[in-house]
Amino acid sequence: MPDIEDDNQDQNNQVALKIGLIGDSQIGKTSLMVKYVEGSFDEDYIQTLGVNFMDKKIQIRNTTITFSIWDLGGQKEFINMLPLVSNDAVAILFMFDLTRKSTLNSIKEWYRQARGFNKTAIPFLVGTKYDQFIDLSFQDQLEITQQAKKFGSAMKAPVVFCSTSHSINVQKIFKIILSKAFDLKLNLDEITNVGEPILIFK
Amino acid sequence: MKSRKVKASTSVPNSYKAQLLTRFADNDNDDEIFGDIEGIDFGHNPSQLNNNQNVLPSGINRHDDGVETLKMEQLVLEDSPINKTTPSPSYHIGDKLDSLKPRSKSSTSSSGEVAHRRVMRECLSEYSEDLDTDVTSEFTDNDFQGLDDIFQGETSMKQRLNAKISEQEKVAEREQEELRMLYSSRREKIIDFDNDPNQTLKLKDFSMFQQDNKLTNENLNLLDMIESENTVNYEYTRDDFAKFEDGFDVNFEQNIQRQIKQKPPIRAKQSMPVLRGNNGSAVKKFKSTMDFGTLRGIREADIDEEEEEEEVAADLPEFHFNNNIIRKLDRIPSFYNNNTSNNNPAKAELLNKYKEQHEHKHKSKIKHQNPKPKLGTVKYLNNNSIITDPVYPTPKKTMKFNAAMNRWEGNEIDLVRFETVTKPTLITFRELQQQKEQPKTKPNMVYDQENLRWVNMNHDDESVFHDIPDLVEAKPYRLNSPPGLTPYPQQPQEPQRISPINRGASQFTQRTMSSLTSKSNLQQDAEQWRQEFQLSGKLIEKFQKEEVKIVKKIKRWFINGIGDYQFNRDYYWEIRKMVMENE
Repeated sequence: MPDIEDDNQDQNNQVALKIGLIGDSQIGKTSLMVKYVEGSFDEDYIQTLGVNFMDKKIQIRNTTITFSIWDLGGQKEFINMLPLVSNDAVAILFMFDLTRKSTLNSIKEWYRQARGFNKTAIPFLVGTKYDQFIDLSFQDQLEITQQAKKFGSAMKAPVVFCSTSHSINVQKIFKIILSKAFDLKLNLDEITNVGEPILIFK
Repeated sequence: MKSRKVKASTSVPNSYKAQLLTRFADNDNDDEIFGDIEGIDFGHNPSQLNNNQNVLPSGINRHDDGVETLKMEQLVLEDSPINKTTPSPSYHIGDKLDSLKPRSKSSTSSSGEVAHRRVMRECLSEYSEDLDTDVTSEFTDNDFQGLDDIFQGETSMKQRLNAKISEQEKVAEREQEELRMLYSSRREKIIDFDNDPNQTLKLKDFSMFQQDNKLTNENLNLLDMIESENTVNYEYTRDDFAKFEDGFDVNFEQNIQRQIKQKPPIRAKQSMPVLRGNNGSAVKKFKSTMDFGTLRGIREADIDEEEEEEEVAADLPEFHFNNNIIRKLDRIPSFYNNNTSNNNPAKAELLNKYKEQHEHKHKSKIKHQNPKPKLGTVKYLNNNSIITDPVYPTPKKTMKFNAAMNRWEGNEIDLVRFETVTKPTLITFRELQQQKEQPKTKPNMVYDQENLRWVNMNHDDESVFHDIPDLVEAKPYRLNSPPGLTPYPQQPQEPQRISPINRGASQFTQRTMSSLTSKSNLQQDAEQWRQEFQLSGKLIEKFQKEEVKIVKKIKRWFINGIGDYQFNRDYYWEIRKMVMENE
């Protein structure tokens, strides 16, 4: 269940959506979160020691929607905090680095564990570092894209390739989350071709 | 996986075996190169799990197409830089509404046509959301359809969300059941499943045992009752119900006693900044405006006071829950150390009661109050006991933490989803035999090794394209044989000469043509040429003279003589080289 802010404001106009970011280390979970919330991107890597969280409020008509984004440190030692991130989440972004196939392979385990805690969260498969992905050989791009699509359909999850540093498909992830959470139709077209920043959510 | 399979089949010398393998690959369920995502419903249709089994085999022919496409794309993309042109949508920066639209361009063109374009670094900006991810940006109404339903209808966003969550719950349950069925059916199919090395996923699925025991609905209900709100502790993140002594040393009570006896207790000096929460027993916090009466002096000295607070002070001794005041008071270190107001025990009691509530609010407020409040971090600090063995009771107590492996165990059933995705498919001999025995009802394709193509033996697809004419492709320019060196009357050069490219013929080709016409017996062609190029008799004469000259000059260049030679075009290059060098 989403935790609802207990401000003395009109409660009906406030909705909080908890979103968990999960995946191997150094794939850009924190970067994505910071980018979305603050609009900034920092090339430096700062390891997440535990769980980070940030809030972002957006306004739709007269309703304030608060994305409460929780980002779990990707190192193995923090996996014990997984329930903190996945419990009560409305959506869980299973993230991987588009340039490292091993991080996509890990998704299986992340999915099993996170879903063990929360079966109602809407799963997303998010490939990061799309800007580096395009430098790979076509063969690699093809292989990774196909595998991601297969994973996406196995998980029944939207698939998004994004680039935090180049602002590609970052905002759209959250738009899709919103559309899924409230069963709204999103005015956005899919991108399905190999080599392009995949956006599959319908 | 695909490419591996293709290679394997081609490298096998035995064509029969290769054929068999290929035929088997045709029926392979999860082995598709392109378009496997099309037709997949990302909606929450749980029956899909089952459908996958049925639907995929119908896409049999796709396999072959896929292989071909793969090759073509590799060629096009890697070899030809020309094709690396921008694939991308045009992008209108600055207008958020428009920024969504280019995607449509991209994908409408992309979904239908070929997928082989390569996005280059230079084109990245065209996909960029730019201002879209600006901090100040907000979602617009136009992003979504159906907002009116929410805002005009009676259900609020929250209700809608709750509905969605319960829907998700149901879906999850159904999926779980399907996965379980899938697993058990697979388990039944394979003889000696437990010892089969290919079966990497072995579930400790107790429900299967329950099924064996024929659990009735009644029994299930009983189980549900046992696992109820009362038996399961959902509140692991909250410590409301935790005992106070949890987490302290065993002898903490004695320590407290000892500390109480030690006098005087450590107290913060008035001038010292108060470290919030560090020394709760010594530092007094006043959370209520009840105290304002006694602290009026301090408050009046505060320059930043707002009218609101004045009113608050005037309304004493009512309680006010105004966060602004508390925030302001928090900034005054000395404020907390004033004990004088705490004389009245009834008042203190009231305050404490109030304080507990406010403590909560205060904590949450800190998060927002910080000038850079954005990023918060939860860590386990200096508490190894928690790290090694965290006990997180989960709603269904299905997950258990394995400290040695650093992972959560349980929910293995969800791995069944990935089984077909990630495991390389082994072709057993039995399966191969089954394939062989299957009646060839559907596709009847035979590989024509000579023409390197597949032929449909059913002949049911032949008339599909019969009324669509072939596109005429402009033929590339080719040199004709030099004059006097075309002794083969049957040499089929005619169509080429008609090609439009030859129209702008150089002097050399003109010469060639005219000489040909004069010599060859292809009178019709000669007619054609005469029609197209009105050559004067004088010019033709000149050509003939030139020709004679050339023949005279080069007739000894070739060992075999001109008459009975096998003309090799490399001679042209030799001649050219010679001429160039002589110059």
